[in-house]
Amino acid sequence: MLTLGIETSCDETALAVYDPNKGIVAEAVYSQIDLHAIYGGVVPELASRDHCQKILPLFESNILNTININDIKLIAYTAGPGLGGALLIGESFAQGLAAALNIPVIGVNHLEGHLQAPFLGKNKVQFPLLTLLVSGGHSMIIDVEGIGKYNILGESRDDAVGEAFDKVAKLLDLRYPGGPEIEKLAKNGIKGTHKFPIPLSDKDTYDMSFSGLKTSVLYALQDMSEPTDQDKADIALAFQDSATEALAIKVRKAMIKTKRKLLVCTGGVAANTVLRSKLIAISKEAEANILFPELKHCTDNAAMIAYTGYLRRDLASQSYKSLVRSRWPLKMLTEIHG
Amino acid sequence: MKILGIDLAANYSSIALQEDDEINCFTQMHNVRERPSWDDLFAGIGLAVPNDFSSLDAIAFANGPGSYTALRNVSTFLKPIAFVHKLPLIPISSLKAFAMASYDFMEDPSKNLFIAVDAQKGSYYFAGYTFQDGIPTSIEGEQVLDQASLITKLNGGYYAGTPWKEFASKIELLSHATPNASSVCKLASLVDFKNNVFDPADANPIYLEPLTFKKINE
Repeated sequence: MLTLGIETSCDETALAVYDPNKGIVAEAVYSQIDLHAIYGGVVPELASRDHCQKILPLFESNILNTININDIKLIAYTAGPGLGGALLIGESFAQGLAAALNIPVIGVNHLEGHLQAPFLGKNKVQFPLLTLLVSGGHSMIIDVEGIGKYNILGESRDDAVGEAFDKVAKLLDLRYPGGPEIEKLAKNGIKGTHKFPIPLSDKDTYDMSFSGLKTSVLYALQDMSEPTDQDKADIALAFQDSATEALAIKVRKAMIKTKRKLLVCTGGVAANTVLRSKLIAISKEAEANILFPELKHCTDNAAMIAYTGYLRRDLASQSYKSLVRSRWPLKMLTEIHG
Repeated sequence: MKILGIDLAANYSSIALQEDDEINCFTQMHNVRERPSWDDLFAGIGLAVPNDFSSLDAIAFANGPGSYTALRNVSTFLKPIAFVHKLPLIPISSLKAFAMASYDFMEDPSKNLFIAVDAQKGSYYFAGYTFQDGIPTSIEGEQVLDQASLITKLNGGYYAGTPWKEFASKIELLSHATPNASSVCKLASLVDFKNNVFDPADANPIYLEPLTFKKINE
Protein backbone atom coordinates (compact mmCIF):
# COMPACT_ATOMS: atom_id res chain seq x y z
CA MET A 1 0.00 0.00 0.00
CA LEU A 2 1.68 3.20 -1.15
CA THR A 3 0.85 6.56 0.42
CA LEU A 4 1.48 9.73 -1.58
CA GLY A 5 2.39 12.71 0.61
CA ILE A 6 1.88 16.30 -0.54
CA GLU A 7 3.39 19.32 1.23
CA THR A 8 2.65 22.90 0.10
CA SER A 9 2.32 24.78 3.39
CA CYS A 10 4.91 27.45 2.55
CA ASP A 11 7.47 27.87 -0.22
CA GLU A 12 8.28 24.29 -1.16
CA THR A 13 6.23 22.07 -3.46
CA ALA A 14 7.07 18.62 -2.14
CA LEU A 15 5.86 15.12 -2.99
CA ALA A 16 6.90 11.75 -1.58
CA VAL A 17 5.70 8.16 -1.54
CA TYR A 18 5.82 5.99 1.58
CA ASP A 19 5.82 2.20 1.43
CA PRO A 20 5.31 0.55 4.87
CA ASN A 21 7.70 -2.24 3.87
CA LYS A 22 10.45 -0.16 2.29
CA GLY A 23 10.11 3.35 3.72
CA ILE A 24 10.27 6.35 1.40
CA VAL A 25 10.45 5.08 -2.20
CA ALA A 26 10.09 8.34 -4.13
CA GLU A 27 10.69 11.93 -3.17
CA ALA A 28 10.77 15.28 -4.98
CA VAL A 29 10.98 18.90 -3.88
CA TYR A 30 10.69 22.07 -5.90
CA SER A 31 11.99 24.99 -3.84
CA GLN A 32 10.72 28.53 -4.45
CA ILE A 33 13.66 30.16 -2.67
CA ASP A 34 14.86 32.01 -5.77
CA LEU A 35 11.35 33.27 -6.48
CA HIS A 36 11.04 34.89 -3.04
CA ALA A 37 14.67 35.93 -2.50
CA ILE A 38 14.24 39.35 -4.12
CA TYR A 39 11.45 40.17 -1.69
CA GLY A 40 13.43 39.15 1.41
CA GLY A 41 10.77 36.66 2.50
CA VAL A 42 7.93 34.47 1.30
CA VAL A 43 5.20 36.31 -0.66
CA PRO A 44 2.07 34.16 -0.08
CA GLU A 45 0.37 35.03 -3.38
CA LEU A 46 3.48 34.14 -5.38
CA ALA A 47 3.87 30.91 -3.40
CA SER A 48 0.30 29.84 -4.26
CA ARG A 49 0.75 30.64 -7.95
CA ASP A 50 3.95 28.67 -8.16
CA HIS A 51 2.55 25.64 -6.32
CA CYS A 52 -0.38 25.64 -8.76
CA GLN A 53 1.95 25.64 -11.78
CA LYS A 54 4.57 23.19 -10.54
CA ILE A 55 2.69 20.43 -8.72
CA LEU A 56 1.46 18.36 -11.67
CA PRO A 57 4.76 18.47 -13.64
CA LEU A 58 6.63 17.55 -10.44
CA PHE A 59 4.32 14.59 -9.87
CA GLU A 60 4.55 13.43 -13.46
CA SER A 61 8.32 13.78 -13.89
CA ASN A 62 9.70 13.03 -10.44
CA ILE A 63 7.24 10.59 -8.83
CA LEU A 64 5.71 8.64 -11.69
CA ASN A 65 9.19 7.86 -13.02
CA THR A 66 9.59 5.64 -9.94
CA ILE A 67 6.18 4.27 -9.07
CA ASN A 68 3.03 3.16 -10.86
CA ILE A 69 0.18 5.61 -10.29
CA ASN A 70 -2.29 2.76 -9.67
CA ASP A 71 -0.21 1.50 -6.73
CA ILE A 72 -1.06 4.67 -4.77
CA LYS A 73 -3.80 3.67 -2.33
CA LEU A 74 -3.88 6.70 -0.02
CA ILE A 75 -3.10 10.40 -0.41
CA ALA A 76 -1.97 12.50 2.56
CA TYR A 77 -1.58 16.26 2.33
CA THR A 78 -0.65 19.06 4.69
CA ALA A 79 -3.94 20.64 5.80
CA GLY A 80 -2.32 23.10 8.23
CA PRO A 81 -0.84 25.07 9.82
CA GLY A 82 0.64 27.20 7.06
CA LEU A 83 -0.20 29.77 4.39
CA GLY A 84 -3.90 29.36 3.61
CA GLY A 85 -3.69 29.81 -0.16
CA ALA A 86 -0.66 27.53 -0.44
CA LEU A 87 -2.30 24.81 1.66
CA LEU A 88 -5.38 24.90 -0.58
CA ILE A 89 -3.24 23.99 -3.60
CA GLY A 90 -1.99 20.82 -1.91
CA GLU A 91 -5.50 19.96 -0.80
CA SER A 92 -7.04 20.59 -4.24
CA PHE A 93 -4.41 18.46 -5.96
CA ALA A 94 -4.79 15.69 -3.35
CA GLN A 95 -8.57 15.64 -3.61
CA GLY A 96 -8.55 15.81 -7.43
CA LEU A 97 -6.07 12.94 -7.65
CA ALA A 98 -7.98 10.94 -5.04
CA ALA A 99 -11.23 11.47 -6.97
CA ALA A 100 -9.54 10.42 -10.21
CA LEU A 101 -8.06 7.25 -8.67
CA ASN A 102 -11.05 6.45 -6.41
CA ILE A 103 -8.92 6.31 -3.26
CA PRO A 104 -9.18 7.97 0.17
CA VAL A 105 -7.46 11.18 1.20
CA ILE A 106 -6.36 12.53 4.58
CA GLY A 107 -5.36 16.00 5.81
CA VAL A 108 -2.21 15.91 7.98
CA ASN A 109 -0.98 18.37 10.60
CA HIS A 110 2.35 19.80 9.41
CA LEU A 111 3.77 20.03 12.94
CA GLU A 112 2.92 16.40 13.63
CA GLY A 113 4.73 15.57 10.39
CA HIS A 114 7.88 17.22 11.76
CA LEU A 115 7.49 15.29 15.03
CA GLN A 116 7.25 11.96 13.18
CA ALA A 117 10.15 12.73 10.77
CA PRO A 118 12.81 11.08 13.01
CA PHE A 119 11.10 7.73 12.42
CA LEU A 120 11.84 7.95 8.68
CA GLY A 121 15.57 7.47 9.13
CA LYS A 122 17.68 4.36 9.45
CA ASN A 123 18.14 4.78 13.21
CA LYS A 124 15.81 2.88 15.47
CA VAL A 125 13.76 5.49 17.31
CA GLN A 126 11.36 4.88 20.16
CA PHE A 127 9.04 7.05 22.22
CA PRO A 128 9.32 8.98 24.48
CA LEU A 129 11.60 11.74 23.24
CA LEU A 130 12.08 15.49 23.52
CA THR A 131 11.90 17.47 20.29
CA LEU A 132 13.18 20.95 19.54
CA LEU A 133 11.33 22.13 16.41
CA VAL A 134 13.00 25.24 15.00
CA SER A 135 12.08 26.71 11.63
CA GLY A 136 10.88 29.87 9.91
CA GLY A 137 7.39 29.29 11.27
CA HIS A 138 7.91 27.56 14.60
CA SER A 139 10.10 27.43 17.71
CA MET A 140 8.79 24.76 20.02
CA ILE A 141 10.02 22.36 22.67
CA ILE A 142 7.74 19.34 22.72
CA ASP A 143 7.70 16.28 24.92
CA VAL A 144 6.64 13.49 22.57
CA GLU A 145 5.22 10.44 24.34
CA GLY A 146 3.54 8.78 21.35
CA ILE A 147 1.57 9.44 18.17
CA GLY A 148 -0.78 12.28 19.02
CA LYS A 149 0.55 12.53 22.56
CA TYR A 150 2.39 15.82 22.44
CA ASN A 151 3.05 18.06 25.42
CA ILE A 152 4.23 21.49 24.32
CA LEU A 153 6.58 22.65 27.05
CA GLY A 154 7.51 25.95 25.46
CA GLU A 155 7.24 27.99 22.26
CA SER A 156 8.14 31.39 20.95
CA ARG A 157 5.93 34.18 22.19
CA ASP A 158 6.58 36.25 19.05
CA ASP A 159 8.83 35.58 16.03
CA ALA A 160 9.96 32.04 15.25
CA VAL A 161 13.74 31.71 15.47
CA GLY A 162 14.04 31.08 11.72
CA GLU A 163 11.95 34.17 11.09
CA ALA A 164 14.33 36.17 13.32
CA PHE A 165 17.29 34.86 11.27
CA ASP A 166 15.51 35.97 8.07
CA LYS A 167 14.70 39.42 9.44
CA VAL A 168 18.22 40.01 10.78
CA ALA A 169 19.62 38.83 7.44
CA LYS A 170 17.49 41.47 5.73
CA LEU A 171 18.85 44.14 8.11
CA LEU A 172 22.37 43.00 7.18
CA ASP A 173 21.59 43.10 3.42
CA LEU A 174 21.86 39.32 3.16
CA ARG A 175 19.82 36.98 0.96
CA TYR A 176 16.74 34.99 1.94
CA PRO A 177 16.73 32.48 3.60
CA GLY A 178 18.78 34.17 6.30
CA GLY A 179 19.96 31.20 8.39
CA PRO A 180 22.77 29.91 6.14
CA GLU A 181 23.80 33.46 5.20
CA ILE A 182 24.14 34.60 8.80
CA GLU A 183 26.06 31.47 9.78
CA LYS A 184 28.46 32.04 6.88
CA LEU A 185 28.99 35.72 7.71
CA ALA A 186 29.35 35.01 11.45
CA LYS A 187 32.47 32.92 10.73
CA ASN A 188 34.30 36.21 10.00
CA GLY A 189 33.01 37.90 13.17
CA ILE A 190 35.13 38.78 16.19
CA LYS A 191 33.73 37.35 19.40
CA GLY A 192 32.83 39.87 22.10
CA THR A 193 32.58 42.90 19.82
CA HIS A 194 28.83 42.97 20.41
CA LYS A 195 26.73 41.35 23.09
CA PHE A 196 23.00 41.00 22.63
CA PRO A 197 20.55 39.95 25.33
CA ILE A 198 19.49 36.31 25.63
CA PRO A 199 15.70 36.61 25.69
CA LEU A 200 13.77 35.13 28.67
CA SER A 201 16.94 33.38 29.85
CA ASP A 202 16.30 34.22 33.50
CA LYS A 203 12.55 33.52 33.45
CA ASP A 204 10.98 30.38 34.88
CA THR A 205 9.45 29.28 31.58
CA TYR A 206 10.27 27.13 28.58
CA ASP A 207 8.89 29.85 26.30
CA MET A 208 11.19 31.80 24.00
CA SER A 209 11.17 35.25 22.40
CA PHE A 210 13.19 36.51 19.46
CA SER A 211 11.54 39.79 18.49
CA GLY A 212 13.50 41.88 21.02
CA LEU A 213 16.76 40.30 19.91
CA LYS A 214 16.04 41.35 16.34
CA THR A 215 15.33 44.91 17.58
CA SER A 216 18.67 44.93 19.43
CA VAL A 217 20.38 44.18 16.12
CA LEU A 218 18.46 47.03 14.49
CA TYR A 219 19.58 49.48 17.21
CA ALA A 220 23.21 48.32 16.94
CA LEU A 221 23.12 48.98 13.20
CA GLN A 222 21.47 52.37 13.70
CA ASP A 223 24.32 53.36 16.02
CA MET A 224 26.76 52.91 13.13
CA SER A 225 26.69 55.52 10.39
CA GLU A 226 27.90 53.12 7.73
CA PRO A 227 28.51 49.57 8.97
CA THR A 228 31.51 47.88 7.37
CA ASP A 229 31.58 44.22 6.31
CA GLN A 230 33.46 43.50 9.56
CA ASP A 231 30.78 45.30 11.60
CA LYS A 232 28.14 43.16 9.95
CA ALA A 233 30.09 39.96 10.58
CA ASP A 234 30.51 40.90 14.26
CA ILE A 235 26.79 41.55 14.56
CA ALA A 236 25.91 38.28 12.78
CA LEU A 237 28.13 36.36 15.21
CA ALA A 238 26.66 38.04 18.29
CA PHE A 239 23.10 37.52 17.06
CA GLN A 240 23.70 33.85 16.27
CA ASP A 241 25.29 33.28 19.67
CA SER A 242 22.34 34.86 21.52
CA ALA A 243 19.64 33.15 19.44
CA THR A 244 21.17 29.66 19.75
CA GLU A 245 21.95 30.17 23.45
CA ALA A 246 18.33 31.18 24.07
CA LEU A 247 17.26 27.84 22.56
CA ALA A 248 19.96 25.85 24.36
CA ILE A 249 19.03 27.24 27.79
CA LYS A 250 15.41 26.15 27.38
CA VAL A 251 16.30 22.72 25.96
CA ARG A 252 18.71 22.04 28.86
CA LYS A 253 15.98 22.96 31.34
CA ALA A 254 13.48 20.69 29.52
CA MET A 255 15.90 17.73 29.44
CA ILE A 256 16.48 18.05 33.19
CA LYS A 257 12.75 18.27 33.87
CA THR A 258 11.61 15.40 31.60
CA LYS A 259 14.68 13.17 32.01
CA ARG A 260 14.20 12.01 28.40
CA LYS A 261 16.95 9.84 26.96
CA LEU A 262 16.51 11.00 23.36
CA LEU A 263 16.74 14.58 22.13
CA VAL A 264 15.64 15.32 18.54
CA CYS A 265 16.26 18.60 16.77
CA THR A 266 14.30 19.24 13.57
CA GLY A 267 13.19 22.13 11.35
CA GLY A 268 15.32 24.23 9.00
CA VAL A 269 17.30 25.91 11.81
CA ALA A 270 18.52 22.44 12.83
CA ALA A 271 21.08 22.90 10.04
CA ASN A 272 22.86 25.57 12.10
CA THR A 273 26.17 24.06 13.27
CA VAL A 274 26.49 26.30 16.33
CA LEU A 275 23.07 25.16 17.56
CA ARG A 276 24.00 21.56 16.84
CA SER A 277 27.18 21.81 18.95
CA LYS A 278 25.25 23.26 21.87
CA LEU A 279 22.58 20.56 21.69
CA ILE A 280 25.18 17.79 21.47
CA ALA A 281 26.78 19.16 24.65
CA ILE A 282 23.38 19.21 26.40
CA SER A 283 22.66 15.61 25.41
CA LYS A 284 26.02 14.54 26.83
CA GLU A 285 25.30 16.33 30.10
CA ALA A 286 21.94 14.53 30.27
CA GLU A 287 23.47 11.18 29.24
CA ALA A 288 20.95 11.06 26.42
CA ASN A 289 21.16 10.30 22.72
CA ILE A 290 20.68 13.03 20.18
CA LEU A 291 19.23 12.74 16.70
CA PHE A 292 19.18 15.22 13.85
CA PRO A 293 16.98 13.81 11.06
CA GLU A 294 18.50 14.00 7.57
CA LEU A 295 18.48 17.64 6.52
CA LYS A 296 16.00 16.94 3.71
CA HIS A 297 13.61 15.64 6.36
CA CYS A 298 14.33 18.52 8.79
CA THR A 299 13.06 21.18 6.41
CA ASP A 300 9.56 21.10 4.98
CA ASN A 301 9.13 17.83 3.12
CA ALA A 302 6.44 15.45 1.94
CA ALA A 303 8.03 12.27 3.30
CA MET A 304 6.95 13.20 6.83
CA ILE A 305 3.43 13.96 5.54
CA ALA A 306 3.15 10.63 3.70
CA TYR A 307 4.38 8.75 6.77
CA THR A 308 2.10 10.61 9.21
CA GLY A 309 -0.86 10.18 6.86
CA TYR A 310 -0.17 6.45 6.79
CA LEU A 311 -0.13 6.33 10.62
CA ARG A 312 -3.49 8.10 10.70
CA ARG A 313 -4.96 6.20 7.71
CA ASP A 314 -8.05 5.15 9.68
CA LEU A 315 -9.24 8.77 9.50
CA ALA A 316 -8.96 8.96 5.69
CA SER A 317 -12.12 9.40 3.63
CA GLN A 318 -13.40 9.85 0.10
CA SER A 319 -15.10 13.13 0.91
CA TYR A 320 -13.80 16.23 -0.88
CA LYS A 321 -14.69 18.96 1.59
CA SER A 322 -11.98 21.44 2.56
CA LEU A 323 -10.15 20.76 5.82
CA VAL A 324 -7.50 23.46 5.41
CA ARG A 325 -6.68 25.37 8.60
CA SER A 326 -4.01 28.10 8.63
CA ARG A 327 -3.85 27.58 12.40
CA TRP A 328 -4.06 24.03 13.70
CA PRO A 329 -2.59 23.53 17.18
CA LEU A 330 -1.06 20.16 18.04
CA LYS A 331 -3.30 19.87 21.08
CA MET A 332 -6.30 19.34 18.78
CA LEU A 333 -4.88 16.03 17.52
CA THR A 334 -6.13 12.75 18.87
CA GLU A 335 -3.88 10.09 20.33
CA ILE A 336 -3.29 6.84 18.46
CA HIS A 337 -2.71 3.77 20.61
CA GLY A 338 -0.68 0.82 19.63
CA MET B 1 -19.78 14.56 -26.98
CA LYS B 2 -19.64 14.79 -23.19
CA ILE B 3 -18.04 17.80 -21.48
CA LEU B 4 -17.77 18.61 -17.78
CA GLY B 5 -17.69 22.37 -17.16
CA ILE B 6 -16.94 24.23 -13.94
CA ASP B 7 -17.04 27.92 -13.06
CA LEU B 8 -16.01 29.05 -9.56
CA ALA B 9 -14.58 32.43 -10.53
CA ALA B 10 -16.49 34.56 -8.00
CA ASN B 11 -19.27 34.27 -5.41
CA TYR B 12 -20.79 31.11 -6.86
CA SER B 13 -19.92 27.51 -7.63
CA SER B 14 -21.36 26.19 -10.86
CA ILE B 15 -20.94 22.80 -12.48
CA ALA B 16 -22.46 21.49 -15.70
CA LEU B 17 -22.43 18.30 -17.71
CA GLN B 18 -23.09 18.66 -21.42
CA GLU B 19 -23.99 15.55 -23.37
CA ASP B 20 -24.48 16.48 -27.00
CA ASP B 21 -27.18 19.20 -26.90
CA GLU B 22 -28.37 18.52 -23.37
CA ILE B 23 -26.87 20.36 -20.41
CA ASN B 24 -27.42 19.54 -16.75
CA CYS B 25 -26.25 22.48 -14.62
CA PHE B 26 -26.09 23.07 -10.85
CA THR B 27 -25.17 26.44 -9.35
CA GLN B 28 -24.72 27.50 -5.71
CA MET B 29 -24.30 31.13 -4.65
CA HIS B 30 -22.02 31.78 -1.67
CA ASN B 31 -19.58 34.19 -0.11
CA VAL B 32 -16.57 34.88 -2.33
CA ARG B 33 -14.23 33.60 0.41
CA GLU B 34 -16.09 30.31 0.84
CA ARG B 35 -14.49 27.21 -0.68
CA PRO B 36 -16.48 24.89 -2.92
CA SER B 37 -17.58 21.52 -1.63
CA TRP B 38 -16.79 19.15 -4.47
CA ASP B 39 -19.08 16.57 -2.86
CA ASP B 40 -22.06 18.95 -3.19
CA LEU B 41 -21.13 20.01 -6.72
CA PHE B 42 -20.78 16.47 -8.08
CA ALA B 43 -23.99 15.43 -6.33
CA GLY B 44 -25.74 18.47 -7.83
CA ILE B 45 -25.44 17.04 -11.34
CA GLY B 46 -25.55 13.40 -10.29
CA LEU B 47 -21.94 12.75 -11.30
CA ALA B 48 -20.59 9.48 -9.91
CA VAL B 49 -16.95 9.88 -8.89
CA PRO B 50 -14.76 8.57 -10.46
CA ASN B 51 -16.67 6.26 -12.81
CA ASP B 52 -18.18 9.06 -14.87
CA PHE B 53 -14.81 10.72 -15.53
CA SER B 54 -13.81 7.99 -17.95
CA SER B 55 -16.88 8.63 -20.10
CA LEU B 56 -15.97 12.31 -20.61
CA ASP B 57 -14.47 13.74 -23.80
CA ALA B 58 -13.13 16.90 -22.15
CA ILE B 59 -13.14 18.99 -18.99
CA ALA B 60 -13.42 22.78 -19.17
CA PHE B 61 -13.24 25.45 -16.49
CA ALA B 62 -13.47 29.22 -16.17
CA ASN B 63 -9.85 30.24 -15.62
CA GLY B 64 -10.43 33.92 -14.89
CA PRO B 65 -10.23 36.68 -14.39
CA GLY B 66 -11.80 36.21 -10.98
CA SER B 67 -11.00 35.26 -7.38
CA TYR B 68 -7.38 34.07 -7.48
CA THR B 69 -7.89 31.49 -4.75
CA ALA B 70 -11.03 30.04 -6.35
CA LEU B 71 -9.39 29.89 -9.79
CA ARG B 72 -6.35 28.09 -8.41
CA ASN B 73 -8.53 25.63 -6.47
CA VAL B 74 -10.51 24.57 -9.51
CA SER B 75 -7.44 24.43 -11.76
CA THR B 76 -5.45 22.35 -9.26
CA PHE B 77 -8.39 20.03 -8.54
CA LEU B 78 -9.08 19.33 -12.21
CA LYS B 79 -5.47 18.90 -13.36
CA PRO B 80 -4.96 15.43 -11.85
CA ILE B 81 -8.42 14.27 -12.97
CA ALA B 82 -7.68 15.28 -16.56
CA PHE B 83 -4.16 13.84 -16.31
CA VAL B 84 -5.24 10.44 -14.95
CA HIS B 85 -8.12 10.04 -17.41
CA LYS B 86 -6.09 11.48 -20.33
CA LEU B 87 -8.64 14.22 -21.00
CA PRO B 88 -8.06 17.67 -22.48
CA LEU B 89 -8.40 20.38 -19.81
CA ILE B 90 -9.72 23.49 -21.54
CA PRO B 91 -9.41 26.93 -19.91
CA ILE B 92 -12.27 29.28 -20.82
CA SER B 93 -12.35 33.02 -20.10
CA SER B 94 -14.74 33.62 -17.20
CA LEU B 95 -15.84 36.98 -18.69
CA LYS B 96 -16.52 35.39 -22.07
CA ALA B 97 -18.49 32.62 -20.36
CA PHE B 98 -20.49 35.28 -18.50
CA ALA B 99 -21.15 37.02 -21.84
CA MET B 100 -22.35 33.73 -23.31
CA ALA B 101 -24.67 33.23 -20.33
CA SER B 102 -26.05 36.76 -20.81
CA TYR B 103 -26.87 36.28 -24.50
CA ASP B 104 -30.23 34.64 -23.79
CA PHE B 105 -31.39 37.84 -22.06
CA MET B 106 -30.51 40.16 -24.99
CA GLU B 107 -33.62 41.17 -26.97
CA ASP B 108 -31.49 42.70 -29.75
CA PRO B 109 -28.54 40.38 -30.47
CA SER B 110 -26.92 42.95 -32.78
CA LYS B 111 -26.02 45.19 -29.83
CA ASN B 112 -22.74 45.00 -27.96
CA LEU B 113 -22.49 43.60 -24.43
CA PHE B 114 -20.23 44.90 -21.68
CA ILE B 115 -19.35 42.66 -18.74
CA ALA B 116 -18.01 43.88 -15.38
CA VAL B 117 -17.18 41.81 -12.32
CA ASP B 118 -16.09 43.10 -8.91
CA ALA B 119 -12.33 42.56 -8.48
CA GLN B 120 -12.31 43.92 -4.86
CA LYS B 121 -10.61 47.06 -3.53
CA GLY B 122 -12.39 49.41 -5.97
CA SER B 123 -11.30 47.49 -9.08
CA TYR B 124 -13.40 45.76 -11.73
CA TYR B 125 -12.72 43.15 -14.37
CA PHE B 126 -14.14 44.42 -17.64
CA ALA B 127 -14.53 43.21 -21.23
CA GLY B 128 -16.77 44.02 -24.21
CA TYR B 129 -18.28 41.60 -26.72
CA THR B 130 -20.28 41.49 -29.92
CA PHE B 131 -22.19 38.38 -30.99
CA GLN B 132 -22.10 36.41 -34.23
CA ASP B 133 -24.54 33.50 -34.41
CA GLY B 134 -24.86 33.64 -30.63
CA ILE B 135 -21.11 33.34 -30.03
CA PRO B 136 -19.32 36.20 -28.21
CA THR B 137 -16.37 37.87 -29.96
CA SER B 138 -14.17 40.32 -28.10
CA ILE B 139 -14.39 44.02 -28.99
CA GLU B 140 -12.70 45.28 -25.81
CA GLY B 141 -10.10 42.99 -24.25
CA GLU B 142 -10.15 41.82 -20.66
CA GLN B 143 -8.80 44.52 -18.38
CA VAL B 144 -8.88 45.85 -14.82
CA LEU B 145 -10.58 49.23 -14.39
CA ASP B 146 -11.19 51.56 -11.47
CA GLN B 147 -14.65 53.03 -11.07
CA ALA B 148 -13.84 56.27 -12.91
CA SER B 149 -12.71 54.26 -15.95
CA LEU B 150 -15.72 51.98 -15.69
CA ILE B 151 -18.04 54.99 -16.01
CA THR B 152 -16.45 55.89 -19.36
CA LYS B 153 -17.80 52.59 -20.72
CA LEU B 154 -21.46 53.67 -20.33
CA ASN B 155 -21.89 54.35 -24.05
CA GLY B 156 -24.80 52.14 -25.03
CA GLY B 157 -25.38 48.45 -25.58
CA TYR B 158 -26.21 45.88 -22.96
CA TYR B 159 -24.51 45.54 -19.57
CA ALA B 160 -24.18 42.52 -17.30
CA GLY B 161 -22.57 42.19 -13.88
CA THR B 162 -23.20 43.63 -10.41
CA PRO B 163 -20.85 46.66 -10.77
CA TRP B 164 -23.29 48.20 -13.29
CA LYS B 165 -26.23 48.09 -10.84
CA GLU B 166 -25.76 51.63 -9.58
CA PHE B 167 -26.09 52.91 -13.16
CA ALA B 168 -29.22 50.83 -13.85
CA SER B 169 -31.40 53.87 -14.57
CA LYS B 170 -29.07 55.00 -17.38
CA ILE B 171 -28.28 51.70 -19.12
CA GLU B 172 -29.83 48.50 -20.43
CA LEU B 173 -28.82 46.24 -17.57
CA LEU B 174 -29.33 42.49 -17.93
CA SER B 175 -30.05 42.15 -14.24
CA HIS B 176 -31.07 38.48 -14.44
CA ALA B 177 -27.91 37.36 -16.21
CA THR B 178 -25.52 35.42 -13.96
CA PRO B 179 -22.44 33.36 -14.73
CA ASN B 180 -22.88 29.59 -14.85
CA ALA B 181 -21.01 26.55 -16.02
CA SER B 182 -23.43 25.82 -18.90
CA SER B 183 -21.78 28.56 -20.92
CA VAL B 184 -18.35 27.13 -20.06
CA CYS B 185 -19.47 23.83 -21.61
CA LYS B 186 -20.96 25.59 -24.64
CA LEU B 187 -17.75 27.54 -25.33
CA ALA B 188 -15.63 24.42 -24.81
CA SER B 189 -17.76 22.51 -27.31
CA LEU B 190 -16.68 25.05 -29.95
CA VAL B 191 -13.00 24.32 -29.29
CA ASP B 192 -11.26 21.79 -31.54
CA PHE B 193 -9.81 19.80 -28.68
CA LYS B 194 -9.55 16.62 -30.73
CA ASN B 195 -6.90 18.12 -32.99
CA ASN B 196 -5.19 20.43 -30.50
CA VAL B 197 -3.34 19.66 -27.29
CA PHE B 198 -4.81 20.95 -24.04
CA ASP B 199 -2.21 19.69 -21.57
CA PRO B 200 -3.61 19.74 -18.00
CA ALA B 201 -0.27 21.08 -16.74
CA ASP B 202 -0.77 24.23 -18.81
CA ALA B 203 -4.32 24.92 -17.63
CA ASN B 204 -3.53 27.72 -15.21
CA PRO B 205 -5.52 30.73 -13.98
CA ILE B 206 -5.32 34.16 -15.60
CA TYR B 207 -4.03 36.92 -13.32
CA LEU B 208 -4.86 40.31 -14.80
CA GLU B 209 -3.63 42.61 -12.06
CA PRO B 210 0.07 43.42 -11.94
CA LEU B 211 1.91 42.36 -8.81
CA THR B 212 2.82 45.32 -6.64
CA PHE B 213 5.02 43.72 -4.00
CA LYS B 214 8.03 45.83 -3.11
CA LYS B 215 11.37 44.27 -3.89
CA ILE B 216 14.12 44.78 -1.32
CA ASN B 217 16.90 47.27 -2.08
CA GLU B 218 14.66 49.21 -4.49
